[in-house]
Parts: sequence; structure tokens; C-alpha cells
Amino acid sequence: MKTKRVVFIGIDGAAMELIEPWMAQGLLPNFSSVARAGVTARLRSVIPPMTAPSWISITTGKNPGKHGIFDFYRTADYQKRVVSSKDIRAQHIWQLAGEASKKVIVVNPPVSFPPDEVNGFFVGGMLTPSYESDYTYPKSLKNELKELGYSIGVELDPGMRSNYARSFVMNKNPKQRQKLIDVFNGIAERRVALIEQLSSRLAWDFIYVMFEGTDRLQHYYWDKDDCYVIREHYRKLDELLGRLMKLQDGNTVFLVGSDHGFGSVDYKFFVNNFLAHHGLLVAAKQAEHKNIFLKLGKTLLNLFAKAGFPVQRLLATRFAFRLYKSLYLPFIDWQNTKAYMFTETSRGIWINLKNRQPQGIVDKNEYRQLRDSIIKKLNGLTNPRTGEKIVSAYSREEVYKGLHTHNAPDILLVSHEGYSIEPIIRVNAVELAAAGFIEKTSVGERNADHTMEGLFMMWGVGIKNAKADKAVHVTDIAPTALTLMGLDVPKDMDGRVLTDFILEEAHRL
Amino acid sequence: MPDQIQVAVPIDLYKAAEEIVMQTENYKTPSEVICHILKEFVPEHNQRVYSADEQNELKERLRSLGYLG
Repeated sequence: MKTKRVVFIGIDGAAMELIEPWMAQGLLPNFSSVARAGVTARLRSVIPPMTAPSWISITTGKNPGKHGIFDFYRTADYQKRVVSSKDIRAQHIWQLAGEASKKVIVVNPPVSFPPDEVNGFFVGGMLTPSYESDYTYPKSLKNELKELGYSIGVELDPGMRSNYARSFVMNKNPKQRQKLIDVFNGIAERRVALIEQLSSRLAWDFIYVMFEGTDRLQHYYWDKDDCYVIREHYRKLDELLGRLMKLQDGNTVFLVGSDHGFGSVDYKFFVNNFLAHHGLLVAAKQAEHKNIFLKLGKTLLNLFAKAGFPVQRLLATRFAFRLYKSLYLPFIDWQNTKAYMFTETSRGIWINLKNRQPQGIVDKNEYRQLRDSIIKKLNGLTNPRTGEKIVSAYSREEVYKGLHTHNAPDILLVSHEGYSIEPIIRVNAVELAAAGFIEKTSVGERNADHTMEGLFMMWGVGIKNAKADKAVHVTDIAPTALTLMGLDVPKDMDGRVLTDFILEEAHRL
Repeated sequence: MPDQIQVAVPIDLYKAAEEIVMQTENYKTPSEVICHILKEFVPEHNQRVYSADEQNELKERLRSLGYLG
């Protein structure tokens, strides 16, 4: 049996909850034919289910304790430094395949700047600083992308930069809504056009392409009754999936995976208020004034938006970003704080440890007891109205294994479905504590967030036709892809080869 | 502050580093092997990928995507 070529298609935050009903309604014919022909399963994310660590686990087959990416930032010293590809301490599928002389095409992986020098083509994705930077390999490929009108991501497109801005036009203005869909669909379309071009020029063995528009749209346009904006983007992705399927040459296996799932958010959980209530965090004095400004600003924006003022343009300006930034952080009195959440994207709580943080106050011998007591309190937290649990909390050693675990936040949180986690400190502390540190989401805010289980699909030559009962794990994708290509799986990968889905003869490659 | 400082490592680890020096052309001394391993362990050591302006721009962009942190 010949070794296979592998195409991996990443769909950020692809939600089974959306795709299955749309497949049943006949809206996604290509997804449906894949489900009929191959394997469909739920794909379990890393803890917490966040974009950066999860995508890196997908392509390295390793847990974040080994690959070293826990967040978009590194923050242990109260400063935020955006991570880069140099922070990743493990090899991706395309690097391992390239070392074995396989030809690869890699388009749009997150945390990919500077780009990897691969045995083929590489086009960087999220966290690329600008179109002027060298974000491709070879460098000359950038000029071709320019001609193609290639977009790294919606956040780099002038006029489309702000999700807050976009959220204000949500469902209110059909023309704006259509424009938004067209922009997202155009970005995805050009990405596939690029794959078509590159794959026609290279005798490739492995292709990676990732579509992030689903995540961006689902955060703000999730609606139980009308997911029109999201649905139209999935329909486009379905059409593009059909185009990518034409890469099938009778010897190719396709894998589809998402870094996490998605679910609606009804409540925000204010973790730093929870810590403050337990005497573990003290807000800086200026927090109070800033919160009043934020509240006032939000009210004014809502009034302007209702009156028809083009608020989205104002919010997309650099001035608005700077103002927001200055109002937001830091709110913490470090010298009197024992534990805090610094970035929402980490879903992590840090203990303010002596000799680690610049103004740490917790002794090493107090660390474990303090951490355990916070975890216990968080795991016991319930919504006073419904009795539902709000979060699950874990120590970093419970969920990560590896040399870089010490760079992770001390406590990691997974919000239960219906809840998001906010690092902002609210001034209405007493009221908020009585409400269980939660608050209902309001119009214009994110109304959906990441969940632990996303989507996995696999089909092609030598692949079984099955619907898996058990979820597979994001770390299973890399060892499976390597095996299909006839390559050895490094012993320190955490995932397993999904042999259950591979026909026996194909398995013995 | 001096550029370099002496540290003690167990003899068996030092000998293992010596063996790596003998087996590869990448290192001239056991110290170079140990420094390489430490650089791998401490990612910040070789991080100056983004300029200060790029860092700010990327942070703004993440915020614009709704990541509040």
C-alpha cells in the first residue's frame, strides 16, 4: 500500500451544533458527502480551549506543557509580550514531514511569524505584524500573494478591523451585514485560490490550510434563532471544501479539525472580582474612575448607534483603541494582591509569587495551599439563579505535562457552557458578589464563546466510514497525519494514531 | 555584571555533554551544549521577533478581535 498524501483543513471554532442541522437541511452538501463517506467525531480541545495553544497542539501532537504556547501573550512579569513562532518548542507536522523530504504547502497557521523555512511553501497567519513583513517562505511568494489580493485576516483589513464595530451593525442593517459576509467569504475564497495555484506547481505530500472567519463571526453573531451571518459563511466554506476535494488523486486523505467548539454565552463571570471578594486581589484606586468612564462610554455609544450615528467607524479608529487600552489595564494593586487573572486569552490565574513576579507577595511555602484553596472555591461556584456550575478550575500540573509547564498560569479555567470569563474588575463589587460574580451579557457584547469539543472529519482512500461515539483529541491529528504519510511518530507526541478509523491494509503502510 | 558565570553540574551530565561534543560538529565545548539546552528551556532568551511598534499593533489587533486581555 502506498503512503498517502494528506490535506488538513482547519476551521477555527467549527461547531458541530451548527453544522449538523445545516447538513440535515441540505445547506452543506459537501460536508454531508464527507460525513457519509468518512469519519465524523467530536474533537476535544486542550484545557482551556483557546486558539493559540490548541492549534499548536493540533500541528505538533503535543500538549501545551511540551510546546510552550499557553496564550497569545507571555505575561509572568505583569507585562504582555505577544508570542511568536520562536516561542513554540515543538516541531509541526510540516517540519517533520519536510525533514523526511516530503513537500508541504502551509497556509495560515496561527502563531506563525517569522515563517518556517519549509520544504515547499509557507504563508503565515495570525500574529503576522503587517503585509510589509516577510511572512512567507520563500520570501518571493509574498509578491504573488499581493497580485492575488490575498488577505492574512480580517483584522488587517482597514475598515473591518474592529469586532466591536462590526457588532454594532449586527442584524440592524442588511446592507452592512451582506458586506461583512462578502468580506469574510472573499478572504476564504482567496485562500483556496492560493492553495489551487501552489498545489498545481508542487508535487506536494502535505497541505495545511486554516480558515479563521468562523471563530470571528461566531463570537458576535451567534443567535439561537437566526445565525444568518454565520450560516452564509459556512455555506461558502462548504463550496470551498468542494473545491479542495478536487485535490483528491486516488491517494489522498483529508482531515478537518477545529481548535475548539462554540456555544452561546448568557453570563459573564468576573474572576478578578471573585478573587477580590476573597481578599486575594486589591484593585488599584484608578480602577473605580476608569470603570465609570467605561460605563459612560458604552452608554453613549449605544445611544449614538440607536440614533443612526456610524459608531462602527469611530470604534475602528486607532484613537478608540488607545483610549480603550488606557482605560482597561492594569487595575491591580500588585503589592496587595495574591492572585489575579491578567489576560482573558489565557483563561488562567497567576499566583503573585515572591521572586517570580516583580512585586510578588506569596511565599513559596504558601503557594500550593493557596492555589488549592482557590481551585476548590472556583469549582464550588454556582449561578445563584440556576444552581449551574460556572467554571472548572485545574492546577497547571493536572492538565499539562512537559518541560514548559512552568510557563503556564498556575490555575487554568474552563467556563461551562453559557458563561464567559472576564478579567475586568467591576466596581459594583457587593452587588456582583451577591449575583455570584456573574452578569448577563448585553447587546453588542460577545454572545458566544469557546467550548471543549469541536469538529473532526476524516475521509479518503483507506479511511473507514463511521460516526465515532468517543471524541478524539486535538493531539491525535499530527501522529495520524504522519502515519498516513508513512512517517514515524516521535515518541514524545501525546496524541495517538487514529487507527480505529484507518482500514487495516492502509494502516500497514 | 559579567557576561558569563560559572555553575556546577553533576559530573554524569557534564560527561553526557562531552559526548555530544564528540559526536556532533555543532558544539565546541560542553558549555555550549548546556547553553543550547537552557536556551530551549527558556524561550524568552532568544525573543526579539517583534519591534515595540509591532508588539503594540498586534496587541491592538487582538483587542479588535474581541480578546480583551
